[in-house]
Amino acid sequence: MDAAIDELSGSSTSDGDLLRRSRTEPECFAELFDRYFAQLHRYAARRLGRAGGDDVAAETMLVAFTRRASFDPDKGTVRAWLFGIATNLIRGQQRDEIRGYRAYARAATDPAEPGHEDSATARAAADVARNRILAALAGLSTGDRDALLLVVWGEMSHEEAAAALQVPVGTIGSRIHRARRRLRDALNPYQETDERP
Amino acid sequence: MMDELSLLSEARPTEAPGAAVVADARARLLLLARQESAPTPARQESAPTPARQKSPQTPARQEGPPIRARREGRRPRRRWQIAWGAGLATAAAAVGVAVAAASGALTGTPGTPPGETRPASAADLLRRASLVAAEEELAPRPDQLVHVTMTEVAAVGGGPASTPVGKNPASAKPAVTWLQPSRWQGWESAASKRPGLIRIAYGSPQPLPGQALPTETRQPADAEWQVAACTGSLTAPTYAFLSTLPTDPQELAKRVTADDPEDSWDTLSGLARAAVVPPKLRAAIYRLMADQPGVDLVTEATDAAGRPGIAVSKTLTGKGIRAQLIFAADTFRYLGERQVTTATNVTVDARAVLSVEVVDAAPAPGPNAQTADCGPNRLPR
Repeated sequence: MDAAIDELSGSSTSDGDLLRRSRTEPECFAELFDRYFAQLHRYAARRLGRAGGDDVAAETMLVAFTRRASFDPDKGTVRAWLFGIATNLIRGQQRDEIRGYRAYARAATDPAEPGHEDSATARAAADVARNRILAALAGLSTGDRDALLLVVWGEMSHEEAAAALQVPVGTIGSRIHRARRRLRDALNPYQETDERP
Repeated sequence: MMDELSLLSEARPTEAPGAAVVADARARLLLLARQESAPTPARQESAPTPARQKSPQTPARQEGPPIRARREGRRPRRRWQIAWGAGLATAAAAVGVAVAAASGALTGTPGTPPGETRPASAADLLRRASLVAAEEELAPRPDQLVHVTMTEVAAVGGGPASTPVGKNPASAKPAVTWLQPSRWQGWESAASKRPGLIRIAYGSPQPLPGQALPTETRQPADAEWQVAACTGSLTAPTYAFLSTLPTDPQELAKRVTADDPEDSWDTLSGLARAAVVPPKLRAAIYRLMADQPGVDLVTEATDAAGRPGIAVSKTLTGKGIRAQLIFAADTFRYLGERQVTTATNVTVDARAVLSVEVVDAAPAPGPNAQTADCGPNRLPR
């Protein structure tokens, strides 16, 4: 059987062709694993932490494999489909995810960590800003957070994110617009509202 | 000020997944894929691919008893019979027990080929064993019996109390100790409705490693018991009892886990020891074992029948032993177990399952058979 995988390994066979072929030759799915496991893991681990990322990435491949007969190429790419499955699995652990983001809130409001006073550098300021951004993710609606993180952490186009979430492309645009405004608010808590677009 | 998207994009960077995580996930996927590649009547008509040719094929049989037909319909077991035959020869030579393979016995179900990587951890091994176990299909009818043959080698103390060594390290200083091989056969009613039978044939006593055989060593006389139909419990699980346990790991955990993790391990390995377990329950048992703390992987472990395997090991400090469950390295099926003293690294108890079959009747007890009831004096298994 490994001959089939070896033959496909690193080949230019398209994702869609691989998926179709895996319906009669299940082992071919391993090539999709090799192409996407690391990406899915990076995305899921940033949302859930490392252990959660391990679980979600592995589970995504198993779920995708068992549902491969229902993949519809007219609704998007294999990659978008996989990220959609991962996003659904992450939703199942939403409480853990949000708790993870909230943990950054304290660091964000308490920049005077030891060592920071004597070098109030731009780097320290950026750390604070990043912590505020992460903490603000906890306050986003599920749909807004999914859209934003698929695009930023999943490195997807709006079209791919739309396919992953099975919503119109315009919906992705408006969700991200709303989410960005919330994040900007978190960065500039004392700023007057008239500076916002 | 950086904008919020670039800040977000560099926030919370993660490391790449560990090699073991990737290997485990990939192996689980391949396991699933290969289970699906297993031949079905529909697929046999299509041209076999190299992938399928590597999966052993046995066509489903329509004739024969239902149990056999069902088991053989899914996967062949010839390969294991060969492997076990070799193991039996080794065992017979090593311990002097006359072992005759029961003709026509179902000697286990060799598995779906596992992932191409070796298990990276004890939890990894147990998860794979769980996946394989979930695909088992042996189910005795209520009127049938489960017939199990095991080979066992146990260190026995020849002192007044005849205490097995290692069970209690504080008092484990018997004057006389040797390794006692035996061949254990049990017939147990699946529905706990009919009496069962246990036969034990003892082999020649062997000295402990590095020691001479004590002069006081005695080989016990072979024995036979007619056993009452017991309903079963967590510590003496019958098939009927096992069928009542929840197969969802979390629900099962509520029934079997104790405050002391060593007790939980004892209970779980006691359930895993049962010869025929509902497939989903066995899968759940291994899942829970994978979640137990302090379980190590032993990459090379030989069972009591001389078969090489791969094991998970849990140190039970209360007993001064490492309790190990041994699985076939290629199929992740249960081979047996052994207990090794932590202080002296001696295997003080090892047992290997040689065959499991479902039969319609137990043999008649001999004239010297004793009787055993279901009470506290119930025979250990």
